Amino acid sequence: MAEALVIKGLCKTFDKPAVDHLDLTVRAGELYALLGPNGAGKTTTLRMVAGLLRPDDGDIHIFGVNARTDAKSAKRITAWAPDEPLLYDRLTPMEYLEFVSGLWGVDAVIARDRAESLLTWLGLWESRDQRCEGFSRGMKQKTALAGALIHEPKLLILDEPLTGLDAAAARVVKDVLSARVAAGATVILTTHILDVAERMADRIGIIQHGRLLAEGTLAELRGRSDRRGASLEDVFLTLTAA
Amino acid sequence: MGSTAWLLAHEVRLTWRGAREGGAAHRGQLILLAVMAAVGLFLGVPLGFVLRSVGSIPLTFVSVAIADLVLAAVATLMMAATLVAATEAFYTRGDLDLLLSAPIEGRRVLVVRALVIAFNMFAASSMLITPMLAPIVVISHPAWAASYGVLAALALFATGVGLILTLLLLRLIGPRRTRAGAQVLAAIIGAALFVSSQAQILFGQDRIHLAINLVQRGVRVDRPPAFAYAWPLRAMTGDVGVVALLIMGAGLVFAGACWWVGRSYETQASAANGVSSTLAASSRPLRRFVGGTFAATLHKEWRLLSRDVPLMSQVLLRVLYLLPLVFVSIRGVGHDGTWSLPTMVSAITFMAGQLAGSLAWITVSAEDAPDLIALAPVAPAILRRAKIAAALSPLLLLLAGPLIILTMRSAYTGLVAAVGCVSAAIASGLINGWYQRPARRTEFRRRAAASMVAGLAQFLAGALISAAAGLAADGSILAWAPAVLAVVAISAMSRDEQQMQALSADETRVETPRWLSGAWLGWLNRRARQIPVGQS
Repeated sequence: MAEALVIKGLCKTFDKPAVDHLDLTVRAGELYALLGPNGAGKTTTLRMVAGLLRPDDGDIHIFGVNARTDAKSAKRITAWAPDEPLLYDRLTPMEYLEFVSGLWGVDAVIARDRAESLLTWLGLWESRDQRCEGFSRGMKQKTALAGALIHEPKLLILDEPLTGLDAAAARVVKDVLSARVAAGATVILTTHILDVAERMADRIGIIQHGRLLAEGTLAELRGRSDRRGASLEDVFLTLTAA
Repeated sequence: MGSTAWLLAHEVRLTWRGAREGGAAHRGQLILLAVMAAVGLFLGVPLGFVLRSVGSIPLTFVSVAIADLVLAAVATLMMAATLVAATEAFYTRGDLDLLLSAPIEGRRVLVVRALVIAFNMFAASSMLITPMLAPIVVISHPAWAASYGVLAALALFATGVGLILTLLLLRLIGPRRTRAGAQVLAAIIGAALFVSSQAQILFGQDRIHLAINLVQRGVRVDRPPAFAYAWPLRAMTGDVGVVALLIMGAGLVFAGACWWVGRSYETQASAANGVSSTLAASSRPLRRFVGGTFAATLHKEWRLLSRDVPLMSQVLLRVLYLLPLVFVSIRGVGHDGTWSLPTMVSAITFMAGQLAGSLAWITVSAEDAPDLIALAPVAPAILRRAKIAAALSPLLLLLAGPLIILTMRSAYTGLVAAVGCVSAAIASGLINGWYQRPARRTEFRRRAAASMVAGLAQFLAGALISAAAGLAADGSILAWAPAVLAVVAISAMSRDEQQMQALSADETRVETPRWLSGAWLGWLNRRARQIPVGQS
């Protein structure tokens, strides 16, 4: 299986090291959950991968493209959806998607069709002509997700995608992510809802103090923590407490 | 606990903390205030000595008229500001939901908010006049300190009127449109004095003379005006009785407004809660998407501009300032000796530059999703060009009328004016692009004042280009001088992509043009970083 993301020796220091010589590999077509306690360096890592933060040191390759030297090519195949949706309150979902597809250079006719199917899929079609300012958090999150998917990225990075969503909205988002993975895309997500990672992720990485603590399938992680049959929550707490 | 005084202390604390936030923009405002204070002192001290030899100001038609005009100017500006602030008292949630959910009377919350608005108005206007007034009070006329009493009366009166207008708007046009309506009304009130000062241009000299004669019948020139016309002057020069009357009158208006508006404050504030500009779900057929980064960004900025009501009210204000020029164009120039075609060309060019600057400042610097822009695989220059184009295009529509009228009077003058306007607008757009201050649109007016360097550069470039356009319209060869100076000034202010990105990423950096670099740049930025600022 090809590698979607290869991170080597990644470093970023603010007041103290946030990411400390991190090595991480995500395979193409898998759903990878990056877990860690608050302040472990998850968001910092993903922001560097998305090109929003300049690393102090290290290499990032996205589908073989060096994201540090050829950021433009890397950005073309990547999407980033943070926990705070990247939206314009005074635009409608359709207008937002028109703008985002313009930014990524998607053909206008194709973009319009994709926007229609994404909004329908995400249950936003009836709200397509309403401005986002009146949306609930779930609707905003789904609109932002549609924006992230409009250029059909090969690598989709989501930071806490289920935060604040009700059960129905969370279900829709999970279905969308599973469908993207089934369609061949690679998804990396961070979440504090360990149940989601346990059910959805092909592999799980646990990060602490900016370093990768453990990585593997749930079974492999259980083995590493010597807790066979334990839940991911138990495994996570055991590993991060060690 | 829970008393009006306690609540007032809470609101004042929040207001004070809010005023201290704002980082570089706040520092810019402080510098501006310091400069204004220095200019005020520079004028106030000599004036104090000059006025030492003058006793009390005689109550003549001229002195009374000047005092009335000053008061009217301050009152209209205050009313424009208090109308917006009073509207926000209904809409800004902040702690309003908490206060209204507590067992406190809604009217008490309104009274406290209204008092804070009045106090802010009084404090702001006092800060403006003190550098000039204080030396006069100290050196020659201690009684003139009564002007602060007049300001307090005005602040109370303006706040009361603001509250009444807000409630009227809420009842007339509903909570969904009131915020926007208040912004537009405030812009009109703010410009009212300027437009009325141009009455001679708007209505013609004969009608104005008729109006003055009517006024003079009430106030004889050779006799001291006895009644209300003279109150402002008498109050400002220390007539304590009149000051007390003004404060009492304003206090009554304020109290009456609080009583009347307070009756329905909770209901109206609740109605305003959660109001958004959402449109009803539409079944209209889908239109085609525009293709390409430039076009998509242009469309997005046009939409955001047209939906930004506070901005549109600012634009409306500028358009109101343009009105007298348009009237001159229509009525014919030069017949009263005050406006010639070159003067008009110069004025329109300058206004075009200033208006373009206001729009470009918003489109270039206001960005609600900066991360989205940073994620996109496009060159920042393309986005910046699209944003500047979005700012300048509505301006062309606004200026089309005056330019067509000018062209009909003189093709050459029209052409020069068009070139001047386009040049001034492009210059303002470029300067705002080079000195952008990225901030979220929602936070824009609170914390991201326009860059001071950009403002000064824009003013300088606009003045030079308008001078060049005016001289060119007059057929003078001297037009080349300001034109060349403008090109030199604009070139000197230019910044490359790296400098722009560095400034965008670090709001503590001192803005420096391209030519000011190296050791100076490093030193200035090190100094700037020593000043803590509120990070977003």
